[in-house]
Amino acid sequence: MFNEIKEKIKEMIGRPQYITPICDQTLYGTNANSFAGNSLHNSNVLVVTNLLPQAEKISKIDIRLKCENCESEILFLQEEDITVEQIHDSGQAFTGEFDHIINLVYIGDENNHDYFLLTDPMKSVYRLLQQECDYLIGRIQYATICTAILKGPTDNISRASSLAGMESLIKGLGGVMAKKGPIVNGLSANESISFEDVLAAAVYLSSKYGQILAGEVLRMNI
Amino acid sequence: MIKKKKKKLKYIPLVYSEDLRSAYTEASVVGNRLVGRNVLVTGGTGGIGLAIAMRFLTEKSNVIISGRNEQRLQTSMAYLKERFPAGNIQTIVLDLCNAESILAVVKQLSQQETFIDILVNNAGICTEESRKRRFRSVSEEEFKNVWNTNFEGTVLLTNEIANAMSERDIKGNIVNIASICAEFRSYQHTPYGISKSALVSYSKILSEKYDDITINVIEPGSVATPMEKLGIGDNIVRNCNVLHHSALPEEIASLVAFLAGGFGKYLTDHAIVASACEKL
Repeated sequence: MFNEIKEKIKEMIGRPQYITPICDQTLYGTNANSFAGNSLHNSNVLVVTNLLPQAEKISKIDIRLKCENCESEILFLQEEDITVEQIHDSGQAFTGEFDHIINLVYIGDENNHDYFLLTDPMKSVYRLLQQECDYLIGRIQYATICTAILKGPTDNISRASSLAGMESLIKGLGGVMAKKGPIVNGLSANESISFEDVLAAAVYLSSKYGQILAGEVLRMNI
Repeated sequence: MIKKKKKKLKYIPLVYSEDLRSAYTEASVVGNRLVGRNVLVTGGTGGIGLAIAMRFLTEKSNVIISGRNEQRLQTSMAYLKERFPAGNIQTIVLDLCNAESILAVVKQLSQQETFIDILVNNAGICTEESRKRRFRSVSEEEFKNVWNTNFEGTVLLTNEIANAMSERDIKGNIVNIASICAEFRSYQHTPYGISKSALVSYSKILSEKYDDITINVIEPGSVATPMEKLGIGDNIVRNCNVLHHSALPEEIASLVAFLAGGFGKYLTDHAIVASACEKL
């Protein structure tokens, strides 16, 4: 009874807060090479990675994003942290802000010379997502953050276990962040999976078809 | 008090229309990896099944839809033909509650020399008793109906198709559509929840049995389908997940294509929850 009266009063004097459902109703053109149904077309995509700039895989990222017809920029993690300013500066050449962020984070031992080694990957990924959410919230009404964790072989138990922490972080953020704009999801993949397939899956998750997978982490194993 | 006043939520309507359906159907999501593959979709006359059929037609696959009702099959066929005039579509009457019907369909496909590359086990029913989470009032007949359709019949059909794939060295895909009801205690005691839990487990066991066949399972949350009493023309806005609307059948369909398009082989050891953080 009390609740009913409260609802009535709210209806009479309350200021409504409008909520728009998240759904991309745009009909995109066909693109036979797309893994996003061409829905990244004309959007600004930022790839944040601890790959080194000279690594061969960089060209694969360029090729994939070119196929998706989007504007893209790669931000190389060469310290443990990035800042909102760094993200902002990366997109200065573009019109508008970044709509989609794809993190490609390698966690493994120092034997892989393609990557900058993160000494505490869990902390780095946590800070990375914090900064990215700070950048997107308030700037963009709808955005995506897809975090792809690439697992390398490691003898370090703590490093290997931190993967579960990262998955938990992504799952939790999926439920919390969408209310403020960014759709957060991700994947984890071991080194035996082709880098092209990891990229294609990350693109799918970043597309409008990946919205339904908010808060989900695809564990890619072979 | 002021804060509470501001919190009166009003949702902007989102109508599930043919245009919205097209927006989620008309472009490939797997870089044309599914061209020419033979796909059997059970329960293909409406809801998620029809959306899956449309998705595979977009991907230029050859699609067979099955259903219990011949008339509904013809109506769905006419609709698909209208949307995809060049599409290769067939229909087949299949009652998953009836073992004879399942074996007859398998025989018919074999006689036609139609070898299935991709099987999508989508058919399923949810009764009112399951929806209301009842236990003691569920009749034996009702339990049998749900269990046989959602699990027993699906298992029989899948075993037959998987054996046929294996005999012909087809590196096929089987995608099972379960439900998040399999994961949440509030539904786990219902015939629907039980059957979907069993389907999730079956998918994992089957995956270990066949090396060359990729078996995946998807657990959708609320989807705008007749099962949820939603369809074309309805406002699908719901405060059920972070997207603030019931999922579109086309979103689930694109995930099925994504899995069948080569990515499923990496994702066989866990069910993929497609619910946008929905909790029951």
